[in-house]
Amino acid sequence: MTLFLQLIAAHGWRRQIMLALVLCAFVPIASAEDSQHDFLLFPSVDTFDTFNESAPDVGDSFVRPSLNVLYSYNGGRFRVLGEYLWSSTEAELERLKVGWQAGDNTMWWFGRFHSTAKFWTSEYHHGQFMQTSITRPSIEEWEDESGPIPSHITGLSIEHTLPRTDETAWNLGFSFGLAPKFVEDKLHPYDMLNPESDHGLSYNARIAYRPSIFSDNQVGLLAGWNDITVDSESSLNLTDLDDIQQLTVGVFADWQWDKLRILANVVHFKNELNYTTESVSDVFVAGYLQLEYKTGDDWTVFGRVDASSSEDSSPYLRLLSAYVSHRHMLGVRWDFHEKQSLTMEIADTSRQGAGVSHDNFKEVRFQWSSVFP
Amino acid sequence: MIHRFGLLAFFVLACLQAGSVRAERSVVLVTNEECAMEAMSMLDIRKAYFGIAVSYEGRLVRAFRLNNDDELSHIFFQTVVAMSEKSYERRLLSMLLKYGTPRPQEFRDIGALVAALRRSDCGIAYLWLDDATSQAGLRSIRLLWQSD
Repeated sequence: MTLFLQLIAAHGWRRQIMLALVLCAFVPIASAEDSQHDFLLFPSVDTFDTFNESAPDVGDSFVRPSLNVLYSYNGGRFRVLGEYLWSSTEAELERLKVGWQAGDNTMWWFGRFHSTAKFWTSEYHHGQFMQTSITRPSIEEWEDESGPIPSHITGLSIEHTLPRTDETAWNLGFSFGLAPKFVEDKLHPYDMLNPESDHGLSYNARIAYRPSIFSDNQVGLLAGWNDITVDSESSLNLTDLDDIQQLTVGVFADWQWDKLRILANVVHFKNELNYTTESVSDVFVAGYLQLEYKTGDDWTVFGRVDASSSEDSSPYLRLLSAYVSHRHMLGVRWDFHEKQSLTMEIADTSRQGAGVSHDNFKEVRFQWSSVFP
Repeated sequence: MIHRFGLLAFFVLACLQAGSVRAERSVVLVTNEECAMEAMSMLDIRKAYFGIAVSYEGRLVRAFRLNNDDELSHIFFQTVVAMSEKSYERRLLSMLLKYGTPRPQEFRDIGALVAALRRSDCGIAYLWLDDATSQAGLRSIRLLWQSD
């Protein structure tokens, strides 16, 4: 606990105070009957090291404690959801949205949320304990980890379920709002606590078929269109680049047969990089396949391949030098004491790099993660 | 000999009586007696216990759990949610993380559970039939389980 208090102090109090004020605004409503608060704490500690690097400074080893706090308020058909992440490297309001349950099958949300068009991101958010692996697939990385698709959108989202007479259902999702900007070498989401203008728009959609509304099994389609404005003065690589228009279309699956589980997602990218004097088109495909196998009640072995096609010639990915273009990973996870886990991963990884060749290295990671209560 | 036979007959009768008491054991779904809901399908009950919205006359049905009785909990996981406690808890965590879906409120004291049911518009809970009938202000709307 002391460690996490130190983390809060290290990142300044302004954001924390603003967040507390926002949450306090809901306390009077919360006294109503039939209302409910839920808090979840997702603590984790990650360690990371590299070997066999192609370049000496390809990755620094680290030990990173994190605490993700999730708060939910439900009062009648009114709902509030907030998620705030503290770690030794960042402190960020990840989600803050207010919702209205319109009928049994439709939910309207307004605020900051995770993109509807990102499968893994909208399943696990920052709940590290809930995902089997330590690492996220490269196309699901957050903006500040050189993720190529916007993760955080501020605006309106609608979730609708088309239930059938049995347990099966179709889930539909649509959202639009402010997209991130491109600054220096990564995307920067719209910050509700420090708003700036000049953000483009983002439209996202998702449709999924679920064989049972009581399980995580699903297959579906994703689509997103993002107008990413560029701070062309923030980096020499961005000189004369005004904006990037990004279209993504993907398919995904999360399916479990007894002890075997498959998570997969393939996304087709079409980017238009609009420079002052010309437009450059950029098309590539990226995706991942993760297999998990439960060898007992508490042990899971897993592996994932992150791969891309035509990424070498992508002018968009060349702007994201830390983007992981290839990763072959193996791992094992041990769940113990109900809600705690220890996980290890080893991987052969290639980052996009600043030039035309990738930065290659091997990596090893250990993690403890949990959820309370 | 007669004495032994009498003792044996007494034990047989006692066992039969115990069996008949157990045969009467039932778990029922109850709601606030002021709620007009007459019945609820198993699919809707299951949805409510997963936090999936189910409404009656425009009001959301809230699910409550009594977790001070292992046998009652075992029946709940087998009959109502049809999965292990670990899988159920995991699913609730996932729904809360993704959608802010409230988890069913849990009570270790039947008095507190009954008070919460009375306060709610159309809340539901599962109870032993004996407990349900002994509590004022509740109405049974479905038989969930009955011993063989």
